[in-house]
Amino acid sequence: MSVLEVSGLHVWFDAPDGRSAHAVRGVDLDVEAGERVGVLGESGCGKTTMILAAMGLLPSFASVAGEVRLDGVSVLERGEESARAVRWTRAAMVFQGAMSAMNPVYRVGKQIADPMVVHGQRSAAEARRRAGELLELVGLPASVARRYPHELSGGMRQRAVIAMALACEPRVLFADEPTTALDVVVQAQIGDLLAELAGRLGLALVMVTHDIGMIAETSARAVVMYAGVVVEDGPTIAVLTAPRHPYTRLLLEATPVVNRERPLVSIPGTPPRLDEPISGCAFAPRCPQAFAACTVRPQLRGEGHAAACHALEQGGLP
Amino acid sequence: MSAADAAAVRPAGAGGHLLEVRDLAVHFTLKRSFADRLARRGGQVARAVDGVSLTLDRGELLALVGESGSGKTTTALAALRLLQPTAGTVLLEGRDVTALGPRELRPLRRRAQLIHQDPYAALDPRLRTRDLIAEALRIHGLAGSREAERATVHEALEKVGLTPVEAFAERYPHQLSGGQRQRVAVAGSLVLGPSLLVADEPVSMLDVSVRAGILQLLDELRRGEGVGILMITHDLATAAHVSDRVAVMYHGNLVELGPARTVIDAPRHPYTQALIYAVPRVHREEERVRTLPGEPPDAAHVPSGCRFHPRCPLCEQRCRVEVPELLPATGDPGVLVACHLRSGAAARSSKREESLS
Repeated sequence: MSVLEVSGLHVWFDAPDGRSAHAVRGVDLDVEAGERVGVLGESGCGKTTMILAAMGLLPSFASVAGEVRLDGVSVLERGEESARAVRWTRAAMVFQGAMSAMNPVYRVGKQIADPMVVHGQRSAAEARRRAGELLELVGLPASVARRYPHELSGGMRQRAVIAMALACEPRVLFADEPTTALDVVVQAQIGDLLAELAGRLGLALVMVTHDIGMIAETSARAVVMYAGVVVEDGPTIAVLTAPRHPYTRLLLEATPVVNRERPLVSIPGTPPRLDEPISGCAFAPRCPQAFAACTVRPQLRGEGHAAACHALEQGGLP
Repeated sequence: MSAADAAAVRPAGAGGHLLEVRDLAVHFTLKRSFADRLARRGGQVARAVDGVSLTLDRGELLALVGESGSGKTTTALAALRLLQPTAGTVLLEGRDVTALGPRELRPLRRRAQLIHQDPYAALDPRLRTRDLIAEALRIHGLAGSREAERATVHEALEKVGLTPVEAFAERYPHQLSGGQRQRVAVAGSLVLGPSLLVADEPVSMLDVSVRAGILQLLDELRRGEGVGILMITHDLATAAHVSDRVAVMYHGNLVELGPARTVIDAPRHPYTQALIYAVPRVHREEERVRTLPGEPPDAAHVPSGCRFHPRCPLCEQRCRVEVPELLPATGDPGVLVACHLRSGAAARSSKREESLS
């Protein structure tokens, strides 16, 4: 059963001058319980906006269309009220900067216990005990509960933030670049922890990142976004070793790999401006394979391993 | 590192090295805490860089790799004399920059330029590209006539691939993408005709699709113009792709130094090994070995002996006591490694033990 259902999601950010940027332009995404999905894309592709929309966390100057259901409950239907009903209990989020995700003046344990108390799940004493258990679950000693965030190292802090996200036993865990601010060795530790927790707790993990290697190591399914749409969606191994969309292929060629020797290529051009209408395939102006059909927006097609590219239908690409 | 060892790693070109750092140390005194005052002792000292020696030749690209707090940026800033070293010498084009006063340093500043990590913060948002680039010329009194300045700016823009130059010269930073901004920053350094470029994480703020372009630009500069580049990066994959040699730092020390391909494909130091295994990758032949436990210690608390010993899977009694020197590695004298178990000293001492027994 799908615990996260996103269908026809659009997000616009309205600027004060009356223009608006169309940041997410029609995204469909179903995620099953226990599934580990990595959403890959460069800055501005709409990956973070999509998960903020799914959590009902978009700022007031954003307008949203489409449907998001978390564990069967609609997030967007009744605005803040419906979002409040899913946050923490059905879905929680781990942010990039662990330091700014925690309140510096409260002890770690209190910050993990608070959501349980606020959501009426546990008494204060029970919540405190549970906070200790959660810290142990993420590989920290329970005594960390008595410490302040500044007393923890970056990796410990990110673990504490993960413990906090798990406080109300969510079904879906969103993680926005959870390892970007950390050192390489610690990145690997946190990536391993997230993948392991998802497996152990039956959580759906939706991790947004620009780091292809991190997706390869932690996610079973990879979703590639470009200019507000999903361009490829399939098993991680297939997407990363036999990409079907030209953008995915070029992105992989542009990524330095530690154990492979080959020249790096950059993708010519820049992503399209989102405050101007985009017709047809958004990647066509930068695509080496673009042809006449690309003036029409391609649909995501393919069973199991889907891509949104006209060249695939022509049989022109592998 | 003895002179003979240095020669074994890389023979000195005619006229010596472009940059030679010898036994560099940079210590910062931390604020005295209340406890320090009670005990009538000085503040703690953070030994950010502690005895680093390295060389860089003209046209060479050396990657200085390490985690945050390892001292890689501090080493580079001291090499540029933007920080005063606590000890050691820095020779740029054969002149010791550590002994020079501000007035004498000025002409040398032209020769050694820094490219920052964040192209969004490095450029003044109120200046057009042409003024951003010309500013350095004016400061150093090299601007000349209006026409000469314009020609120099255009030539620099051309060199960094910002064409048509007339259009780019008139733009403000907010009208440029991240990659284009970084190119402007590089152009601003180039107009001064530097022989040394220190690039501090030049691509880590950029999107993957434009990183390759900036790395290619740096590569062209060193091959075409013979600029020596010291590139600071935490990303081993980037280092593997563009550098000739890699220097790995841990906790203020160099732990491994050698040809990039050798260090990445066959790392000797246990820390380098852990660092390489930790890099997430798409194609992995073997299962990932258990990641390194713990996190780097802070510079105010220096472990005894080998600084890596509390996290090292191979730690022996000796590692807790004796500080390892950077010596030619067992089996490959082209790589220098600071590890009791992996350097020539290890081979020698184990042979000695054999002969004794």
